[in-house]
Amino acid sequence: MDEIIVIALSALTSIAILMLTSLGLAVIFGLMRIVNMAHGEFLMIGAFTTTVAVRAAGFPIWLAILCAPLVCALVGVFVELAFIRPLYRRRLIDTLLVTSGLSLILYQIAINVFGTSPPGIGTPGGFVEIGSYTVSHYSLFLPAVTVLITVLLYALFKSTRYGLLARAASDNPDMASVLGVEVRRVNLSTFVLGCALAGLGGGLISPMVAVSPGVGQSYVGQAFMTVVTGGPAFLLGTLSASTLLGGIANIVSQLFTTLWGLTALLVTAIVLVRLLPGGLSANWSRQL
Amino acid sequence: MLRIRDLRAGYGELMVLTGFGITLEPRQIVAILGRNGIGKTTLVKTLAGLIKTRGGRITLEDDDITDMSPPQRARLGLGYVPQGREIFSKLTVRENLLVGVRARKLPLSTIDETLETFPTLRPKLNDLGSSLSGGQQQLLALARALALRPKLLLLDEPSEGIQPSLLDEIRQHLVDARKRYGLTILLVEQNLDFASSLADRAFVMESGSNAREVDRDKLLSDATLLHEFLGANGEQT
Amino acid sequence: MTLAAWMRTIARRGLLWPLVVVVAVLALSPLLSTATELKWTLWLSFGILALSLTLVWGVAGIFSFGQNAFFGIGGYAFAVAAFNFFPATGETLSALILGACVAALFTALLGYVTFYGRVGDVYLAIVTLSVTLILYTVMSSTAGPEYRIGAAHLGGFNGMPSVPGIAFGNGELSYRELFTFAVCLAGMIYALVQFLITGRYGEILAGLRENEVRMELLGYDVRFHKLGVFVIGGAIAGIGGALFTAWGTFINPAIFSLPQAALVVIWVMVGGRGSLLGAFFGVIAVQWISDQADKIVAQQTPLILGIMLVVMVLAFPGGIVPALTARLQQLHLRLAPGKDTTASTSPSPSATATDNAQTRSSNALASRGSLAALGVGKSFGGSVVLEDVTLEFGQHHMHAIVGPNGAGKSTLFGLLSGRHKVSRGRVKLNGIDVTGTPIHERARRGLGIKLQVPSIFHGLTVRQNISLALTAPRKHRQRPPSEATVLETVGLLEKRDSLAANLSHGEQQWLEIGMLIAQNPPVMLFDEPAAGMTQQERKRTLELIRRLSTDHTVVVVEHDMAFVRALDAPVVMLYQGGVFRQGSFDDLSSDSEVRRIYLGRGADATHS
Repeated sequence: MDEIIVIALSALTSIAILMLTSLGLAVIFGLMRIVNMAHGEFLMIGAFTTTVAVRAAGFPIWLAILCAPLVCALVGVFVELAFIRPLYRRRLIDTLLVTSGLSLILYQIAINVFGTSPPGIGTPGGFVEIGSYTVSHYSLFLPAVTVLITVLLYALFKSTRYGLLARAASDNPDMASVLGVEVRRVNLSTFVLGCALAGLGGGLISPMVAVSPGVGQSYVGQAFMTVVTGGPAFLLGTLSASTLLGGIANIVSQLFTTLWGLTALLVTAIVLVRLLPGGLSANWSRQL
Repeated sequence: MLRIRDLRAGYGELMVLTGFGITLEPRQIVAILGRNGIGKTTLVKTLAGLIKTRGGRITLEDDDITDMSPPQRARLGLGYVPQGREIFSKLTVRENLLVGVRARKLPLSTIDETLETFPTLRPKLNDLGSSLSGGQQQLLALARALALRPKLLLLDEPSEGIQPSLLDEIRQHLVDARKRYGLTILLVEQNLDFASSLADRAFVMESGSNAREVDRDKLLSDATLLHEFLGANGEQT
Repeated sequence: MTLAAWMRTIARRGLLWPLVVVVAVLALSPLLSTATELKWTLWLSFGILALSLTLVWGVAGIFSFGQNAFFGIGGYAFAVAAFNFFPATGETLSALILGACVAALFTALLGYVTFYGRVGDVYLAIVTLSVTLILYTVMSSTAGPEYRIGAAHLGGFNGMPSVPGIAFGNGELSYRELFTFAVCLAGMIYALVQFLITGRYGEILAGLRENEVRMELLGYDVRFHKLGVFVIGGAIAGIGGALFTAWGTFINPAIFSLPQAALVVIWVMVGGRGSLLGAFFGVIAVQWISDQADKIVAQQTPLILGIMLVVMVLAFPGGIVPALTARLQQLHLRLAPGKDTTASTSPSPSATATDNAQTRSSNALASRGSLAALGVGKSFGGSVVLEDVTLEFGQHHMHAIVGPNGAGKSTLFGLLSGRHKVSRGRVKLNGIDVTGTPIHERARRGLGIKLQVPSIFHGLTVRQNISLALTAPRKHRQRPPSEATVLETVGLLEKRDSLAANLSHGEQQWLEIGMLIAQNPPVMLFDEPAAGMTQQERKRTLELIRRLSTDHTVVVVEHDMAFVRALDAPVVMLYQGGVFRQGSFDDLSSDSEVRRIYLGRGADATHS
């Protein structure tokens, strides 16, 4: 019984991590259709911001985590203006190549600044005991905060002026502009929001993983597969895909090993692409 | 109201409008007819700001809007109902109506006022735009534009694929809007009946630089149009 | 075949160059230092990898962002097999072959999912790269002792050291021997790819790159061919990976990293996307630059690669690719006319020539088909666009479908051609039910389609365009006419070596009609053939369609009523998504209801 609870909790944490590392991409790629290959580096920047804020500046962990989206948002503004904006009307492959280049540049800068395996920060909070097992508070906190962020984002896109304009600008930019939407400004905000979300994701997972310059690249592949299998409903679809893929990957890893868990994630995602090319949410009546 | 002088526009190397001109007086409904591919849609899109002007002047009331962006033109009172409706497919009907209202920071009560004139949209408010039928989408596109109380409305083939009964409804909306707040309309059409029953003046676009005015009552016997639409020979008229 | 004939074939297919290079390099190899040979061996393995992307992306137009993954899989498979085979057999050639096979199998699975799932081009790039990055994580987590395949331990992040090198049964090759082997291997692969792309298969790949829709309409199974070239590319990358592993006797997961994936793309972009030798030049240039840069600032390869990638894409506002294709086309123009000058002495299209062509074609082709829609309907989302349409074409030579904008003409066209799936009802072609049959299969069974906007292969010459249609797979009985007949009929004989992109709009329309004639299907379907044409061009098009209707069943969907009138065919009028009237043109144009719909005359007297 205890074992089942522990397995379930662990799966929940994995799902949360997958969702947190995919959310920024869900906004930038899922909603805006910008192929941002540098998504992983935004996760990495977020994770490093938190680590540095805790270790060097002595910030409390929660404040350090909140710094991560701010730093990423600033980087995001620069990236949008310098690289993404000139490419809005170009072929998607061009965006893909430029953001890949950006990813490499940011990766190398991180290596130059932090080295290949910088020291990390410990998991904050204590532990709970479930039978003979211990589970950290933080790993329980992650799913809760993931749900909170998703709910807030849903409300933002569903009920605010900005959210409506952002969705309209992505759905049909010409028509939105004719109705009075300043599409460029809205797109900048949405891109920056996506970067900030990636930063927040990176900051939140930083106590749970080994933070290195390559940390983003180990998540970006999964993040893309999650958003692609999620389909057009960029928030709830991504959440469903995270649940399915993260759940399967985690349970298989616990039963066998991490290797088989990742393999299961990959195989499930590929099978889903074949069976449902439009993604899990292709036929939903809510595209959010 | 609207003055177009020597307008030039096109796509890439292809110039479609090569010096087009026309003038609309306030509260006037002007129809432009002509065969497929002559440049009617290009004209409307250029006026809306979606295609860059390569030459000439466009003046809306006292403002030179030639180099303005689409949102700037919208704020000056330009409304646009595009060919093919261009409904936001991933937004609900209500959200489709809201986009312009929110973008322009108009009071939310505008939506309710609009729905009073478009009661058929009310039961569909929470459905996705893509789930509507063609006719419903056309009404939504019209409601979306009229909700913003434009001074000038650009209408690109509203009759396309629409049943006659619905066409009457659309006509009624346009006539009412003119009566209530003095809307001026530039209508691009294929449907001669719809155009002639609505327009004060009618033009047949014959090239990218020339439109010939036709007496609207004689629209239905215009030789060029008959030849184009029915393949009839000139002498039959 | 005589030696001279062999030499001619080799020269014609562009194999002379690589042969000369291989021989020259081998002859010079005694002069090279061991360090140089080692470096060049590495570059050759990279060159093979770049070549695989040139084939898949440059030639066939499929952007794979995971080519390094197939390289890595080939490398790992080689390592695993070498550890297991070498002690027993003393050779690792079988391991090399196995490396290619495993990589091919992996690409086959991935390609099947993406091409048969019909995910878009960009999705393929995303899926291949995501898979690559996930493989990086997967292979990095194989450090535990349980990850052992026979005698091989996968080794996790640190990879597999001390892999046996290439061996033929009497010990591992020396550096010099390995270099010789690598040169020969790269030469062979180059020759194979060159041979593939200069022949008939090359035409198919060029067709895929230029216009997938037209390929399907001609009867080619696009998914199958894309999968095919993707797998060949995967196998080649796998061989490169095996050579890479044998070179360093080492492989680790870094091969699956993003820098490595980007590197392959950069090689190909630098070397020129469509050029096979460019693949090797690209490797040499980029590797040389990064070696030099490494001497100035050590260990900054990703930074340099990143900057190269960003600058290359941003510095070519129209895309690097068009810039390269433009160059490629010039190359084509230079080469193509010289190819077949002997056959070019035919006269300019005269009345007699066309008449001859016509009689010839009449004799050879005469057989009409039939096309029927039985109660078909179509809904998009919530809107019903077409409802219960039953129409049969075939009892006459020519049929016209008309209707005002939005009546459902293009939807009906889509249902007949196979572009759209019917929501209700059945479609029959020559009496056979083809309701669920894909586009290419309908084409093979004898349905030819002319689209409204000319759908041709812009980057190919007129003759290559026609050739793809002449040799398209077919299941109907009608044999293709000769190339000359086709070119004469559509009046493009003079322009047969021009690039299709350089034809006028009208000529492009006729080229597309020419492809239909080459397919020679019993049923031909035209979508607004007169759209955007000058008066002169309309007249010629009308003549062409009339002539075709003498021995084919022709269905024309048209908006322009003057054109329909001139067709002089029975007319079906669609309105509001259904069949509104059928009859002769005069019946329809004098029908008061029809006039009401088109003109509104007397529809509602109160309004006028």
